[in-house]
Amino acid sequence: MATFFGEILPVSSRAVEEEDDDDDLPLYYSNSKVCWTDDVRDQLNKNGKLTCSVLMIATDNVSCAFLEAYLRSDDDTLLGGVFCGVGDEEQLSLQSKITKISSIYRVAKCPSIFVCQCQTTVHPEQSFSWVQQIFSNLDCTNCDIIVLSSALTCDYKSDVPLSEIKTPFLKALYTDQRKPSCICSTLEQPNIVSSLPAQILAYSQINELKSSLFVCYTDVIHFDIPTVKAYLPVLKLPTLKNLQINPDAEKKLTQIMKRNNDSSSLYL
Amino acid sequence: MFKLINGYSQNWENASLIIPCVSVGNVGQLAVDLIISTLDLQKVGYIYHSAILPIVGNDPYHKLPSNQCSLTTGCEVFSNKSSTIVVVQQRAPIVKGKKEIYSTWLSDWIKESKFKQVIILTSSFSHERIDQQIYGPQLRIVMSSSMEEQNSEMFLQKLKWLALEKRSCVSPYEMENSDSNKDMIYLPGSGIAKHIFNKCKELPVLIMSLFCAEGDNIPEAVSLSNHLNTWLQLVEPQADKSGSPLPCAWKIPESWKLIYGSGFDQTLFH
Repeated sequence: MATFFGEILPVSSRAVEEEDDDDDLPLYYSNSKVCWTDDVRDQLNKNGKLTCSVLMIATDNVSCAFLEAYLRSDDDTLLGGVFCGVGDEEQLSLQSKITKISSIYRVAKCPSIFVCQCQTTVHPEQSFSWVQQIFSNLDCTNCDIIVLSSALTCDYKSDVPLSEIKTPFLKALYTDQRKPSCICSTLEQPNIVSSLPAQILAYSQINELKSSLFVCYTDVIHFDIPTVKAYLPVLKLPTLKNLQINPDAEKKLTQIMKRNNDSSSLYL
Repeated sequence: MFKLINGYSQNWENASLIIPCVSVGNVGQLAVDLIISTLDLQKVGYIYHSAILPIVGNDPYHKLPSNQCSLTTGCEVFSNKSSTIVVVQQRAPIVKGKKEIYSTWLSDWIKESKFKQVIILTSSFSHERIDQQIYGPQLRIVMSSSMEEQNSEMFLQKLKWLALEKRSCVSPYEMENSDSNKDMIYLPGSGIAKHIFNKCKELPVLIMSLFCAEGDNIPEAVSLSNHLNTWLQLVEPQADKSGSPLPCAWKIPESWKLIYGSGFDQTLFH
């Protein structure tokens, strides 16, 4: 390539270069890594895999808030966590002061239910290894996998004008092994779901697992109480029927909202 | 990995594989959508690979009642009953930096499956055309040597398809050192087409590429499918009353609706 000053440099032009694979990749492209607590690791060494009857995965902050308010309690046991986008895998342990983590808990009031909360975003590029890491140590053949996520209504396509649709609303997708439930209608084409929820569902479909995905479409960016409550019908699923929801859920939810709003200082 | 759905066999020795590349305007993928939808091909397997970004949705080809779901994933394999046509549909882009791993895996899979021939559908940037590509047909083909032996007369003489003009250079620097690059296949924006082609060179492989720009690329997808149809006769070509051929009646899949966005409140324009 000739430069402005006339000398010839042995580089090809970026503008017409077909290959871009050699660029440095951001850290979030690195693989995810699961870390289990010592108790779980002993159990894994003995039995090979953990078993549960229901695995609920909250993939974003809205669904995490829902699980936090309605299901989780301080008595739940931490089983492990998945670290994402952390370069030095060898040094990782659950005690690491790293916040890029999805945590897995055993629900105290119903020990066969596991809950996984992704406190920080799992990027689409790292979702493949995230799924591999979690499922390699869980026996999900007879387990009900329930994935919760949220999206904005401006991304929802429908014949019906958006102004006529009441928000927030819930839509579902199921793998072939799971019969559709009647708590909400299925997500229709041309709408699609991407990133971590899609990766979990695709993995389940290929491995013939029973998975359901519930997407809450909302029109607010900073989620509010009605958005979180849109997931409530999920608790009516047959597998969760016997589960007692937290009696102080409303109070907890208000607290979460307050905590969430305090950290958003844009309009103070 | 490739996962065959229970009940189907992977006996594809007489099959033509049609594979799209994620390329400019997604022309290859759209053309494949038309073929699957029109021929009502059966889903026979899944390609599940770390290099393909995750995506799921409901059945892209049929309108289902609101309480039914038939999950579609990022990359799937379809076939007809007689297993003469096998079609891959890839619905999501490849993770940056994983092109090489994926095209190596894919070409190994193609070789193991022993397809009769491989047809790669793709598209290339129209702004990169040279003078002789600007007018006339926008389809270009690239043949591997065994494909050339078998079909070159039919493609070039009978169907009047044009072979891709080999380029000697892409940039001023390379122009000065053009000896090393004399017969270069230059298809910018065509995704992994060239990678698969180079890795499967010993098989009968054909790249079909259309020059286009991003936008509503349905016309290009229909054009590419029509071209392929003139050779493989997938769909009965139709003729009007006077007997002159009409474009094929491709069936538009369900997932193509609302490409210009949601419905809007009609009272806006009262």
